Amino acid sequence: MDDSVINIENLVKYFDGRCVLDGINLKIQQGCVYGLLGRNGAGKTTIIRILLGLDFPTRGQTFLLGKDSSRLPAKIHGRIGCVSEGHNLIQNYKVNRLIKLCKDLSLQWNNDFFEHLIETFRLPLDRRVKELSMGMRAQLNLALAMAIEPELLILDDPTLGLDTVARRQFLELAVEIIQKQGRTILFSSHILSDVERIADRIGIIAAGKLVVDCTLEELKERVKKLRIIFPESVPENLYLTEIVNQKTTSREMIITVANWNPQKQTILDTFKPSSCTEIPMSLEDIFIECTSPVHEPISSQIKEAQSA
Amino acid sequence: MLNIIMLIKREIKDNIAFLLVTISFSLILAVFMVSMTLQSDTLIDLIIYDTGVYIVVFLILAINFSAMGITQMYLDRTRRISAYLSTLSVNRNQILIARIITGILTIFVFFVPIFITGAYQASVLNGPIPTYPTLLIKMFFISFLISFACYCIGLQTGWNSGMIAPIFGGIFLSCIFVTLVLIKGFYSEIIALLLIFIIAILINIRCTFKTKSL
Repeated sequence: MDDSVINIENLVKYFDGRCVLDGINLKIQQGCVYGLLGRNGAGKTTIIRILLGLDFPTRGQTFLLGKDSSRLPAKIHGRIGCVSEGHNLIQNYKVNRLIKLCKDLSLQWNNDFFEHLIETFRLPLDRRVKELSMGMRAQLNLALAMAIEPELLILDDPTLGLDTVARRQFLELAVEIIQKQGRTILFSSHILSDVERIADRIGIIAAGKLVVDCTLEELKERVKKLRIIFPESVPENLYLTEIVNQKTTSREMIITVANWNPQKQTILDTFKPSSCTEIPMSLEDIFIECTSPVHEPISSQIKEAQSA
Repeated sequence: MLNIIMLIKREIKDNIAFLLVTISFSLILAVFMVSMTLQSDTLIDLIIYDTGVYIVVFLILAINFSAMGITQMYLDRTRRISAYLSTLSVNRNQILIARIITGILTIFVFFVPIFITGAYQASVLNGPIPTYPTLLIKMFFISFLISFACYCIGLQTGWNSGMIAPIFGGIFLSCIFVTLVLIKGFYSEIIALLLIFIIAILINIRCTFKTKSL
């Protein structure tokens, strides 16, 4: 039986004739902390809005906790916590009124935990939401989302607009919550270090497609950046498949290769290089390679290799 | 069910100004009707005075109900209230139902005291018009339907983009509607016409609210 908490099937979305999402397929299993990456305007928020039933797909279907997300029953909504981009909440409400509303409209409410969060954040209860700073609103949003003890927590670029300290505080709390609760989390961001910190599986959206969907370790294993030095000049007939990027000087060659494997190592060894050292790649480096339009086919190859 | 009650409570708090205006006008009219009952020499005088003031107050409140509908939907759209509420354990249907029930309650707040006062007048004065109680019920029922239709026009126009067009469009439509009914009179046919209009506009509101992005 399919135990995926989030299931996206061939999701297509057009805005004013422009294709934003082009056949996204994604399954997120229970207990997974999934980091959704993409550049600004890549379609991360659109996916989340469709999942929450706030927007509708042009084609395809999305399921949350086994139910069609365009017709989510209220009870299913009650099992999902959401921290949305911009932390809009209800701007003209006082904080304590908003808390009461959320409490009244929740299926369950962990008051002790909520009080603990409010004390930790030192949120002023008598001020209007619009008078709070972006950081405070983010904290309030997270506290409200966590108080209902959700099975699924959706965080849509929650650290957007926060300063470094607020972002760190937010992420530390998120990490703490994740470690303690072990629930399914969909975390969207364009700040790679944030995702790298908390996600155990990542997806990268580029040009409306999900070009990468694997664990962080798998991704780092598959994409290698090598500095190869030859005794004389770089051989002209050196050919490796799935080269993402290549830079050659007289004796030195720096290449980024997708799906690095022993066969490729053997091919390289036949050219007897003087040295071959791996240059460590951060997620940011991989992200830039994968989302670059020039190398899009390579990204697809990574995904094809994963599915194979 | 509990969620709908909470949502109604929220709507009432958010639109308390409209409720207060309605209560004020309702009480003013009720006091006026009682004082006229005690002071008028003839029943005809009473009916003329009552009807005159009733029409003025009713016109003001029809605009009030229309403005309430516009405000509810306009603020919802601009402040993205439903977008946030939809992330809690409620769905769009419940939000819309709570909103409409709040509108109906506000309209009732106006009509209940007036209806009681009218019934009091009918019991005090045994006038020469035997059909007075029936006419009274029909008049109040049609007035209620007109108010609700105006409120629905407000809901419909408030969801449109822009600010000027929805407000003036809604008020203009409400005025035309009220005037039309006043000219044609309180006939039974108008009930059917109003019911069809209300059902059609409610279906349209529901479809729009359910299918639009929040």
